[in-house]
Amino acid sequence: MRKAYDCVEYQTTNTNVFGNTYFEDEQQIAKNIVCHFPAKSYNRHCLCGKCNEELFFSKWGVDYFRCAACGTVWADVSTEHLTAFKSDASLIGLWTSEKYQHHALEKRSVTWEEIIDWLKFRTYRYLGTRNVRIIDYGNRYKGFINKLKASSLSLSYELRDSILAVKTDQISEADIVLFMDNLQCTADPLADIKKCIESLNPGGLLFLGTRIGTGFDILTLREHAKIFPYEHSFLPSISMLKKLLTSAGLDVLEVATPGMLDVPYVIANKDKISEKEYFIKYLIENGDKIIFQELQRFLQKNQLSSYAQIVARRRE
Amino acid sequence: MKIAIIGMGKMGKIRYQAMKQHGGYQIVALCDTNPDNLNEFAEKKYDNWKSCIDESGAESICVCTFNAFIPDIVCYALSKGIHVFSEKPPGRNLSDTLRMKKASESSPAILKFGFNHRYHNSVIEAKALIESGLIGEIVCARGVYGKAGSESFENEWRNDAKLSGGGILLDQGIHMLDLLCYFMGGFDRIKSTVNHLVWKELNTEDSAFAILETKKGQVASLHSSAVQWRHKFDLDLICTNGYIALNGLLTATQSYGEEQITWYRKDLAAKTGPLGKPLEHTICFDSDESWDLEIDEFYQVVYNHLPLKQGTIEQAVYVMQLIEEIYKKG
Repeated sequence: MRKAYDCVEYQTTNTNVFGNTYFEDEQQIAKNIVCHFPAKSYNRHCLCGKCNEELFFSKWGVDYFRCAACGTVWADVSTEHLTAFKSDASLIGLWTSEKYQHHALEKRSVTWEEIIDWLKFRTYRYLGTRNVRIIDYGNRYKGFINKLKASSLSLSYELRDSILAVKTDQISEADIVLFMDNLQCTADPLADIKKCIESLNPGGLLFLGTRIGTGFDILTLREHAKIFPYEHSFLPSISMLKKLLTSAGLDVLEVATPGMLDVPYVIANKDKISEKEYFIKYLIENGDKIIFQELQRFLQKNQLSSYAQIVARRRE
Repeated sequence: MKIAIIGMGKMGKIRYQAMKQHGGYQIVALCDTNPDNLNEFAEKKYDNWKSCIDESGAESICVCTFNAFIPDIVCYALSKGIHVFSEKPPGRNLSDTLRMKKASESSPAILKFGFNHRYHNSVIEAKALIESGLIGEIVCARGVYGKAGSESFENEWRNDAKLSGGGILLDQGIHMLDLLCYFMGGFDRIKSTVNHLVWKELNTEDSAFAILETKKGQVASLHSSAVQWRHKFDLDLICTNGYIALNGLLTATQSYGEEQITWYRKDLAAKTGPLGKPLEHTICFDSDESWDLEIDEFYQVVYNHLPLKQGTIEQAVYVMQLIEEIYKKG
């Protein structure tokens, strides 16, 4: 694999992608769903097969484990829970509401344009073409979908497995497949990745974006990080991601962690940092704007941010 | 492919490793006038390049000698129908290069020159970024390629004009010039100054500056320096809708710094950040496949009859014409 790191130096004006306006609502609904299910052990283990897990933290009665061997973090939940969560009417109602979609467009417009630039650049880099057939899995933002459909990248566009009812093309063979922000809420990651690439041409590209369990904010803040059950039930390490993609029949071309919010999240929750994290507490309490910018850049560059973007090619 | 390497100094050894790694090459002989350069190798050894070509059974050769010997070896091999991969520069001067062009035109064999910078990751990414249309067309470029010099700089063969034909411009600046041609096409007008800024007694230059202009009005500047006092590689490409910077170059010693490409879009409305500090993307690389990719292209051209795209004799002649012009006007 060619190793490359995408370092995006976001400015302060752009650091709060979504804000907390709907996050609290989203969390409250999620909490109601989670609390509806009795807490018990489902005996889930890390997919790396090493069976070397430790209890990482508990949130709302759900245990999160961390694999000491590969660094993957997962919630001990059942497939039934996840299915119920993803099809919950009140959650879908919030996500599909006009106000939520409008707010997302307002806050994420620049980020989506950057993602489309990333797709254009990497598609041209590996496929040598500027227009492709796109299948997009699970996208739940109308604004993003509209931008994708209207972009010069899109020869045709099909939306699959989404909570949104959007009229799109029907594509039997795609040049690229997008699987953004879905892996974190899956019960069977390998099966989901395999399903995603069923309609991907051999040689075609999978673009995957997901929260990961090896990022700075998650490892530092644990249950106080901006993650919650069941939305974030699977937070793989980069090595786990590579393993999954390879097992699904893909060659990983590049991994980047362009996440920009690790340090701001930790700063915002500095009173929640464990007393035993002497260095991190000292750093966060005494650092200045320049140090924090450098720290975030360091995390991005060295695959230590908690958001990963991967480009993988389906094997011929 | 049966190949013999002629010249087993630093570059010969790099090419040797790349060919071993490739798997498609069978190195049948090595040639060097300095036996010390051959001691560590088990392959058949020669101290005379002509005997090596005639007797080794090689169907191709890799030429890694001093510049002065390149034309004779290349022309002889081509006359025998033997494919040639030769190190840059393509001879000491334009007349050397034109001689090899003539030999190439009357030979069925392939001739490729080593301009490995075209295969560096940052260069590949920059080319793709421009061709993707994301940041428009190049309007101007700035290339700086600098060396640290050395304690024995005056005594290096590179600074013996009889062997090398020129100084830092021909030795290292040629790569930057080749990249400027790769990104911008041909240049119509050249202004230059070629200097002995520090090493006054040398018969080769330690610095060269050039301003080059294309027919379309795009402007490039080149600064090739042996008096940078550290290793440095920087190439800026300013485009109609954005900017690309290539900084550092991954080499075995890592002395040119980390290789990276940074790019951003023009953002006059300050949507991505404050005006003057737009959102930047940087990709860093921790591996250099340039030698492998270059040696693979030669293999693919000879064995699978793919067209030769990089390091053609036409590109070699063109860059040598520019160098001759820079020397003449400087």
